Amino acid sequence: MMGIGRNGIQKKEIITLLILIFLSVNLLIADSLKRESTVWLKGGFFVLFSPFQKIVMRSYRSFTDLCLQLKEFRNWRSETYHLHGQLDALVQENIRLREENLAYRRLQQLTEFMQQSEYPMVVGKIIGRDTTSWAITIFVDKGSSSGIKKDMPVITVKGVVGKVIETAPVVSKVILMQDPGFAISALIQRSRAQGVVVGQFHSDFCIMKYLSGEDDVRTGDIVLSSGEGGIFPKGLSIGVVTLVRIKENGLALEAEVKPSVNFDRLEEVIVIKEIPGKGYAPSKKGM
Amino acid sequence: MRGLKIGAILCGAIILQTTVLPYLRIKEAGLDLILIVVVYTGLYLSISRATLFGFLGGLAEDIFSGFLLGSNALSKTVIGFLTASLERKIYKENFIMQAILVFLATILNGIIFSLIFLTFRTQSSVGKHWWTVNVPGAFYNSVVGPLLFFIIKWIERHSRFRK
Repeated sequence: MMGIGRNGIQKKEIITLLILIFLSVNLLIADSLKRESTVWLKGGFFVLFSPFQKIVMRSYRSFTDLCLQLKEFRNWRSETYHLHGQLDALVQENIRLREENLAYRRLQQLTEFMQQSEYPMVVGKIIGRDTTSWAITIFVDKGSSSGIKKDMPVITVKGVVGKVIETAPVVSKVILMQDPGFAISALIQRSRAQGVVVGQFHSDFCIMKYLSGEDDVRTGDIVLSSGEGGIFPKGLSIGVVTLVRIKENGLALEAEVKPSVNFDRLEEVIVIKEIPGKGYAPSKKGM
Repeated sequence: MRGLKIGAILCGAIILQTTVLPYLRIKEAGLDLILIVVVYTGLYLSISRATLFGFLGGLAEDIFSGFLLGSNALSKTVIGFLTASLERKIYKENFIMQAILVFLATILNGIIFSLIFLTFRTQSSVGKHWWTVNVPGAFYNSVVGPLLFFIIKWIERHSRFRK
């Protein structure tokens, strides 16, 4: 128990308490009666504390603003991350749609070409290329089950690609015009000079051989298939003459021909299944 | 010297109580920083000083609150006096004891306030106020109180007034 004395609460402390209680109660009564006597007291405290209150409130508001900005930054970062994900997905979708659009255009061109053409044809997609350096061949996703046979001509809308050399039920192997083992009877469109176009290793160009020294061949001349040999129909574009050389004996000419088809960008090809009038007649000479 | 330090801390508590703390309420219950500092003064200063600091702190709180002037002054005066009187009878360095003391001081503050309210105001929503403000506030104060005691002690130890 608390007691008044040497070891307990002293008299002056009790007096202090009583004075302060008395003051508090007086203030209570004065304030409840709306007396003006408390106004000076309130004013004094306001003057004393208001500058510090302003500083603290300003600091607090700055702090809460900073917290809010940090929160917004975190939200923004998370949103950006999310949007980046969406952007990646949209970019992928865009690429896919562009690819589909390009494929659609190519197929549309092929379809129009096939509708205008007099030959029965089948469209095949390229599914592979020869990995050795000894042959320049491609693999097409159509085979004997689609009616494709050995030696059938392979073309695109732009011109001659090559010919079928092997078939399986669902795959065909096609030798390209660039291969040295390939040969096609050809003619110069302008002068009707005839020769044979053959491929060559490690070159984007073919060679038109067996041109006589008197033939009229010029750079820029268009080279077409002549239709001789029984494989390729007449009039297919082979390429353009880029260089004319006179052979050593001076009796023959040789022309360098740039193929009409860009073999590096081949994606779909057309296989001609039959030549009307001639039927399908594979040649032993391979021309 | 110690009274000066605690006086400065009390001023800081008044400024915080009237600016930032209203934003840190948990539902209806708010933190009474001035009450906590008054309890601290009761534990570490003389009875007279604790009573005086209680009065001044309460008076400042009254001025910045919308309630009757003198209500906080009265309650904090009594709390300062009683805490200082009990100081020798309790182990004041124990956190749990500090928490209990702050809790009881908040309850006593509520009782005095309720009595003043019932005496000077006609409305009778005191019961609801107890359950929504006073009791949760007592828990809130008793949790924060010992932590603040620790901080005030640290401030006291690391601050030096030059003559």
